[in-house]
Amino acid sequence: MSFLGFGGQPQVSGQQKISTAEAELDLVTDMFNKLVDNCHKKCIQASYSEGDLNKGESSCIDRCVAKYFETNVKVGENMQQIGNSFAPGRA
Amino acid sequence: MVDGTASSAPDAHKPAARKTGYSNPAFRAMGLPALRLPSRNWMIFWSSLTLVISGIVYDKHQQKKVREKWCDLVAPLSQGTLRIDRKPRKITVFVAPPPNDYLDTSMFVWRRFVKPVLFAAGVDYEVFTEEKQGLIRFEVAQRVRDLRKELREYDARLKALEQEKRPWNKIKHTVFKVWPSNRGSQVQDDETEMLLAKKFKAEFDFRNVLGPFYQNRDVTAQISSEDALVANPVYAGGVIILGRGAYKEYVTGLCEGILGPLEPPKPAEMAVPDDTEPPVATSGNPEIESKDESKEQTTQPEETDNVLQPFITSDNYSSASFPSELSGVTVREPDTKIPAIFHQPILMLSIPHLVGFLNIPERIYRFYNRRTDAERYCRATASCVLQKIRPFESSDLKLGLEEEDDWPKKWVEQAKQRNSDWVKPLVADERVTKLLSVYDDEQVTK
Repeated sequence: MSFLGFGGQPQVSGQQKISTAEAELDLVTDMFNKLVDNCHKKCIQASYSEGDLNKGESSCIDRCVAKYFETNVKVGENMQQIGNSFAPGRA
Repeated sequence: MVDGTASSAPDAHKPAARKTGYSNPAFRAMGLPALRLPSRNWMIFWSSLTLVISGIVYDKHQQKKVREKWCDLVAPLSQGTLRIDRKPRKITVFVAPPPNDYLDTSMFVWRRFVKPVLFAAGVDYEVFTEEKQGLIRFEVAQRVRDLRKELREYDARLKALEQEKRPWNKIKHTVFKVWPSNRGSQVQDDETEMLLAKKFKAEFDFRNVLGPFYQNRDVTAQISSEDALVANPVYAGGVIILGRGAYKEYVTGLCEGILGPLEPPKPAEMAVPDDTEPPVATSGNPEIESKDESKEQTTQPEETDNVLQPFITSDNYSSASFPSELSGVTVREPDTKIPAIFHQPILMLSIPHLVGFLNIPERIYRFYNRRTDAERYCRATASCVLQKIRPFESSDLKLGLEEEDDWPKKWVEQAKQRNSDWVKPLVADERVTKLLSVYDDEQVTK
């Protein structure tokens, strides 16, 4: 196979690109859905007495989304580190 | 018969030792043993256990009730709607660990009693914690310094613009001088009003009222904070400070930021006192620490860090001049228009925290009376949320002074050796305290 993606590009690239794009889209959609679920559960009262968000809910959602993203980034970084530290062992 | 006599002898002993207890035929038929009180020792054990546990449970229950009471009181504030281009009021929280203990003990108060009330009121908050002494002071001072730098740049830009417009201004001035001042301005106001109305009509476009459903420029309008909209700066934001140490650092930080220079003092000037002091401290510390190694692990101050050196010390306040860029009635951040942090009122929450073996009886007493603390914290937070404000008085420098009685004596001695800000009396400059205000929980009814 190719080293670092060089060489042998033309044959696999189309298929590979699509699959990675799909995987990425899945990941992002999944994260977004989870975020919406969690923050909805946390912040929005189930009585739905009003159509608009009230002040408490909107500031709660603000914080919730920010926190979720931050955590996601941090977990991602950590996972990448772990992955990097494992890779040489496998190779 | 032989059997009977043999068994009757122990039987005669046993009933004397154990009481028969209560039973009836129905119980016996169901196979339930006779009901009897446990022995004296068991009674003591069970009753003291019940006492201990029920005390805890009762206290927790009361804490919960207190919290709910104050949350309900402020809940109506969160019911209003917030426009999509507005940010809610934001409160800055500074938390410092109590001496000789971890940050968690202070964060406990924040999590249990302060945050729920803020959450119920729907205000936003930003928490700044420190593990090491001096961080809060540095952060506060740096914020003020950054603000001052921004204001200076802003002023410089304004001046440059004015220079450009000067020819036009000259013409306008001469025109105004020629016109009679009172009636002239009245007439001109009417005229400008008419012009503005015409302009508004000409530019009015229904697409702008359609919100996000149609491309329009208002959707991308800048998001502004609610804090920026209040006329009186004391009704913007707010600062909650947990712990006496944090309070001292906050006030010193403000003085440092406002009165101190914008750039750190040159190492050459500071080097003489600094380089002589830290070695003393560092050589002193290991000895002390090795003596007390069995004691609790501490989050000790280390003022040796160069970043945290104060730009100005408290004895130089009087010789420093008040910066011209902060001399306006209300200082606001140039971009966001939020009033500066020193205009925002302060809420100081003292966290009494006792450590040590000999203090255990007192600690137990406090542990069972946490509900009174809960009431105090929640009430104070509610005063912050409801914005009950009074101006800062010089006696407010002593806010939370009672907390210092709890500080371990050994720790205080060490801190004095290290020249820590926490153990020095709090000094603030008149010109700075004039700007401050505090939340007053006595004005909260209920």
